[in-house]
Amino acid sequence: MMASGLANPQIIAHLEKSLDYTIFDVRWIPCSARFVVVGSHARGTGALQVFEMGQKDLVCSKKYEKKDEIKCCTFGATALQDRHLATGNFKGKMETWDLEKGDMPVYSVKAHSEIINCIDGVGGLGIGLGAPEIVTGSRDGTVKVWDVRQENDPVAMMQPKESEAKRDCWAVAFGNTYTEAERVVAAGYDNGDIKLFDLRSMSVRWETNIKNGVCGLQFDRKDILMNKLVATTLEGKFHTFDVRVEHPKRGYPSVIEKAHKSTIWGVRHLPQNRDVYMTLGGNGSLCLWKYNYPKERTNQDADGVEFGVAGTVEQIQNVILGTQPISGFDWSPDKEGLCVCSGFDQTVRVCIVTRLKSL
Amino acid sequence: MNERDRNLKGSKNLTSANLPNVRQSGNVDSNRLSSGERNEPKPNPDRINSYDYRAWDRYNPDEECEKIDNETKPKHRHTPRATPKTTINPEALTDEAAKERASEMEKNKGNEAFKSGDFEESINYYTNSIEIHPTAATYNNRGLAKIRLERFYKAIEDFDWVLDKEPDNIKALLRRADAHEKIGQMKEAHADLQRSVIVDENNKRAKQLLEEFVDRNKKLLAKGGKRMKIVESSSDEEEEEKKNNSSSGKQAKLSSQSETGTPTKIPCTRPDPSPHQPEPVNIAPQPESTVKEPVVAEQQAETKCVRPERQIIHILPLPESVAKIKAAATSLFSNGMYGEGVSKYSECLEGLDKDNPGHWYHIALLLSNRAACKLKIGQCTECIKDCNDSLVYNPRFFKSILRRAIAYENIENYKKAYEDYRLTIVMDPSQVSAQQGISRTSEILRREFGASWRDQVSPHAAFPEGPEFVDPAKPETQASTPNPTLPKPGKQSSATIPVNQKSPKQPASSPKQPESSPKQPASPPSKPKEQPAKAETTPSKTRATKTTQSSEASKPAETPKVSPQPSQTQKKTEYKMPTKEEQYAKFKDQGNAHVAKQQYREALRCYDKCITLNKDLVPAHLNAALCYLKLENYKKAISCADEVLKLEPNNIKALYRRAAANKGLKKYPEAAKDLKFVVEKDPGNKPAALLLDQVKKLWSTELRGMQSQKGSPSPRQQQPAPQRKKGRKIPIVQDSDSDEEEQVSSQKQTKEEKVPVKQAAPRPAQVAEKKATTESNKGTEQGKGSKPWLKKTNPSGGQTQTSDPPTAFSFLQHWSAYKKKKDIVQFGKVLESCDPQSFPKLFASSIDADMVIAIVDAVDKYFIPSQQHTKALDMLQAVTRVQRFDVMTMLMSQKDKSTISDVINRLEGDEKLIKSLHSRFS
Repeated sequence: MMASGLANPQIIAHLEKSLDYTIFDVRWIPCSARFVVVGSHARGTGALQVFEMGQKDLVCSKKYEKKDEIKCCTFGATALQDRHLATGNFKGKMETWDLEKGDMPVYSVKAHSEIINCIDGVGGLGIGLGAPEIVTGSRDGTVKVWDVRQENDPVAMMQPKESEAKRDCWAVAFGNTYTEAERVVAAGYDNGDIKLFDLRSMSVRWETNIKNGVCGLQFDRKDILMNKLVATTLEGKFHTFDVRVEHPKRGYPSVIEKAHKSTIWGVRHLPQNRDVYMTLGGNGSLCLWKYNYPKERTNQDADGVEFGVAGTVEQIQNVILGTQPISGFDWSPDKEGLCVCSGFDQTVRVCIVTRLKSL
Repeated sequence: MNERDRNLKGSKNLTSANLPNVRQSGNVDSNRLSSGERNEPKPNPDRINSYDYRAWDRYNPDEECEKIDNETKPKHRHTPRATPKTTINPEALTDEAAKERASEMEKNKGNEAFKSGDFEESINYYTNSIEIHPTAATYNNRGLAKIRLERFYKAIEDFDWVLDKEPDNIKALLRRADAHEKIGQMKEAHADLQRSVIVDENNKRAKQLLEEFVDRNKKLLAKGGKRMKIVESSSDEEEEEKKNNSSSGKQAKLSSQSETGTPTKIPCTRPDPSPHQPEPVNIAPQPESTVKEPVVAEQQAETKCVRPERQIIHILPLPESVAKIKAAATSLFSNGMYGEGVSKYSECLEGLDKDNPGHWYHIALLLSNRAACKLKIGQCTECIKDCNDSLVYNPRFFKSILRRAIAYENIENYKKAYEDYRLTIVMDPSQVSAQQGISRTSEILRREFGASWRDQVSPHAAFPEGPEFVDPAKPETQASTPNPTLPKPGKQSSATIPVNQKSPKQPASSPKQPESSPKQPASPPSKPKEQPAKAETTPSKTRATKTTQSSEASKPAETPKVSPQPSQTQKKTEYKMPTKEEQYAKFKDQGNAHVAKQQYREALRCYDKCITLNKDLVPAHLNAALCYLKLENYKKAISCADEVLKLEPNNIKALYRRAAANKGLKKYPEAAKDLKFVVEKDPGNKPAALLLDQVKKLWSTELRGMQSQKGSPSPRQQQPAPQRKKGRKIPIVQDSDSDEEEQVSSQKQTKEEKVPVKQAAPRPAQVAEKKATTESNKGTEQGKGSKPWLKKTNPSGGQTQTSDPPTAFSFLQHWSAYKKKKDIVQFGKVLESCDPQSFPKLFASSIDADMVIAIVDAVDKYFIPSQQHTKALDMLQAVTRVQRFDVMTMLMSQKDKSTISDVINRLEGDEKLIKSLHSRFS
C-alpha cells in the first residue's frame, strides 16, 4: 500500500503566504519564477501584486492598488516579450497591464455593463495560431472577444436576443486554434448551458445543458484540433467531453465524475500533459485527474455515422489545503509540476506535484 | 529561468508585424437554440451569411461540389481526421531561441497525440516541428509514429535522416531495424541491430532484441548467404535483384548509414508486376481469389533475400470434369450456398489423384476452399481438419493457415489461432485479416496469461517448407486472360490449360529442412523413383515432370518466360511423399486439434507417432506431457517433461508441466523446486507463480496433517499399506488417486501394445524405464514409511533402528513411547541417534525432571554398558545447556540428584567435564 501510495504523484504545499485581501485569480508570469495575484481589498479597491519565489518565502516584488476590484486575469493573448496581463474587473472593464510599470493600463475598454466573471486569451506566448485575442464573459449575459489592437469595440460578440433572458456567464475558454482561421470559444452559464461558438463561421457550433451552473471550462489544449473540454459545475460534478467527433444527434460524448463534495470552481490542464488536470474544490481541496482514452475513440452508429466514445477519468491524487474554496490555480508553463493556487482564506500557496512524468 | 526572465525583460517586441489582422467584428446570437427553440430544425451551421465576405472569399465552389459528391450524408458535419498542416511560417520566427521553443511545442503536441493513439495527427505535429527546427528526436518520434501506421518505408526515411546526422543514435537504429524487419529486409534489420549493440554495449534492450531477432530468423539469415552462390541458376530478373540485395547487404554491413531503406531501394524490393511476370489473374469466380497471392508472396520472398533450392512440382491441369465441378462449387460459394459447396468440393477431390504430386496443388486448394465453406457454416473443427489436410499437400498455402486460424479463433483456441495468424503474416505481411486476428488474439491471450503470454505460444513461426508449384502451361499471353482456370472445353492442351502460375510461397527455411546437400532438394530418400514414373503415365504431363533441356529448347514458344528457369533442369525433382518433418508436423497438428477438442487420448496417439518419427524434437514431448497431465497420469507426464528437459534443460513449459504433475502426485517439494526455477527465469509467469502458491499451501497443510496424525495415531496407520506413502498424503484423496493412476497407466500400457511395432520401437524401452522408476519410487516410499516413530507408536511394529536424527516432535513421540513401555534400551538407542548439539532444540521447552532422569537412566543402562562414555558425557553436558535447565534442577528431589551424580561418577572421561557436570546437576 505504502509503495503504491508513494508511486502516485504527490501534491506538496511548498510555500504559503497570507495576504490581506480576497484573492480571485492567480497566474504564473511566463518564463519566470514569478506569479501575479489579483483580488479585491476590503475597502472595495482592486489588488494586483507580483510575487517572486524566494528560497524560503514568497516575496512581493510589485504591488498595485486599482480603483476597481479585479476578478480574473490571463496572459494568453500577450507576446512573450511583452507579457502584458489582461484583467477583468467588477465594473465590467477589461484592461491590460505592463507589470513593470503598472500604474496605467496599456489598453482599457469598458467591455461589459456588469462584472466580468471570466477571461481567457489565445494567440499569445506562441500558443495558438491566428490573432491574439481575449475573450470575456460577464453577468450581463454577453461573451465578447477583444483584440487589443482595436479600441473600444469587440471583434466578436455573443449575446442573447433582446427579448430573451440574460444568463450569467461564469466561464469562457478558447480552443481549436490550430490554424489561423479556426477558433472556437466555449462559454458556460449559470443555468448549466455550455455553448461552443465558432469564430470562423460566427455561429453556435454546439450546445448542451449539464443541469448545473458551469463554474469552470477549459480545453485540454487551445492550440490543437479540439480534443477535450472539461466543464466543472456548482454541485460537485465535472464533465469531460471528447470534442473530436460530433454526432448529429448525440453530440459529443462525455464522462461525468463526482469530486470534492462541493462546488468545483475550476479546472486547469497540465501544460506538459493534456490528459492530466487539476480541479479546484469549494472545500479547499485539489484533485488531480487523468483522462484515459478508450480503445477506439470513435464508432459508427447504425447509419454509418461516426460518433465519439468517451474514455475514463481516474483520480490520481487529492489534497485538502484549507477550509475555504480554491478560487484560482495555475500550472507553471515552464516547470512541470510547479503550481500556484489561491483560496478565499486569503492565502496563496505554491505547490509541487511530483512524479507527473510517470503518468 | 530567471535568466530567461531577465532576457525577456530586456528585449522588446519587434515582431508584431507578423500578426494576423484584427478580426472583423461579428455578432452571434448566443440564445439561438435556447429553451423554446430547441425542437425547431437547426439552420445549417456551416451556412455562410450573405454579409460575411471573408467567408465567401474562402469559399471554393469546386471543392464544395466535390465535398457534396463525396459525402453521403451531407447533414453531418465534416470532422477533420487529423490536423491539417499548420501554417506556421518558419521565416516569421527570426529568433533561433523562439524557433526552438516553437518546434519543441509542436513536438510535445505530437507526443501527446501519439500517446492518445492518434498517430496521424502526431505525424502532422512532428512534421511542423521539423519544418521549424529539425531535431533527431523529432525525426525519431515521427518514424515511430509511421511504424505504428505501418508506413515502414517512410519511417525508414526518417531514421535514415537521424542516422545521417548521428550515426550512433541507438533509438533510430533499433527502430529502423524494426521497420526493416517488418518489411522483410532481414539483412538490414540484422545489421542495424548489430550496430546498435556495438554502439552501446550496455544497452540490454538492444542485445535482447538482437538475440530475439537472431532466434527468429536464424534460418533466413543463414540462407541469405547461401543464396548468393547460386547466381547462375536464376533468371535475369532474379540476378539483378540479387545484386541489389547483396550490395545492400554489404552496405548494411559496412556502414550504418546505408541507403538500404531509401526509396531507391523500393523498386527492387517491391517489384511491380513487370512483363516478365505476367500478372497472375486467375480464378475469377473462386471464393477466395488467389490473384494477389503470387505477387505478394513473390515480393515477400524477394525482400527476405531467401531463395534456396526449390522443390519444384509442376502443376497439372485439372481434368475437365473436375474443373467443371469446381466452377460449380465456386459459384455455389459465392452465392452463399456453403453446404452444397462442401459436397461439390468433396466431389472434386474425389476426382483427383491423391498420389499424383501434380494434383497436390489443386487438392490443397480444394481442401482449403472446402474448409472455407465449412467455416462459413460453423463446422470449425471440420474446417481445421481440412486445413490440416490441405497443408499436408501444400504446406505453404497460407490461405489454409489463415482459415485454420479463424477456425481456431472461433473455437476459442486463441493460442493456436495466434500462432496461425502469425504464420500467415510471415508468409504474407499484407494480409489485413491476419493482422487484425493477431491483434485480437494477442489481446485475449494477454488478458488470459498476463504480460508473459508470449511464453504460452510457441516461439516465432518459421516459414514452412514445401515444394514450389510451377505451372508449365502458363504462357505469357495467358496472363491477361481474365479467367484462366476455367478450361475451355476441348482445349486440353497445356498451353490453354490454366493453372496457377507459380507457387506463391518460396521454399523456405524451415529448421527441419535438411541442408546438407545444397544441390539436392530436400526430399526423403525413400521412393525417389516411384513418383516420376507414375507421373509420366499421364500423357499431358511430360513437361510437368521431367522436362529436359532439349525439350525446352525445342519448344521455346510454349515455354513461359516465368516458370521454367534454366536452373530447373538441374534442380528439379519430383515432390515425394511428405517428408518426415511434414509427417511430424502433420501428426503434431492433428494432436493439437485433438487437444483443442479435449480428446487427450487421441492426441496422445498422434504425439506418440511424432515421437516415433523424431524423438529429438521438443513439441511432441511437451504436448504429450500436457495430455498426460489432463488425463491425470502424472508419472507419464513427468517422464515426458523429463524428455523435454533432456533436450532443453530450461524449457519453461516443461518445467511447469512437470511441476503440475508433481503436484498431482503430491510431491510438493519437487514441484516447488521446478516452479521456483520457472518463476525465477520468468518472473512474469503468472500461472507458475499461482501454482507455486498453491503448492506451498498444500505442502504446509500436508505437513500440518502429518503432525496431527503423529500426535494421535489414526487407525489407518495400522493398516498394512506398504505401497502407500502414508505420511505424505491426506489419506482419502490418496486412495482414489492412486487407483485412478493405476487404472490409467494400465490403459496406457494396453494402448501402447496396440501401437504398430515399428512405431512403438522406442516406446517399450521407455515403459520399462518408467516401470523401473516407479518401482524404485515405491521402494523409497516404503523406506520412508518405516519411520522410527511409526514403529514405536505401533505396538505390533518391529523395533527397527533408524539413522535419522529425530526431530523435536518425533523425540517427544519416543519419549511418550518410553513412558508407556519403560524400554530404556530402546530409548538409549534413540538418544544415541541424536546429535547432542541439537539437544537444546530437541527439548526446547519440554524438558522436565522425569526426562533428565530417564536420560541419566539411559546413560546408566545403555551407554555405560556399551562403553560410549564420551557420547554420554557430551549428551549430559548438552542437557545442561537446555533452556530452563537450572529451574528444573531446583525442582529435582535430593534422591534424584544423588542418583544422577552416581551415574556421572561412573562415567569415564575428561575430569574437568565431569566436575562441571556434578556442579551443574546438583
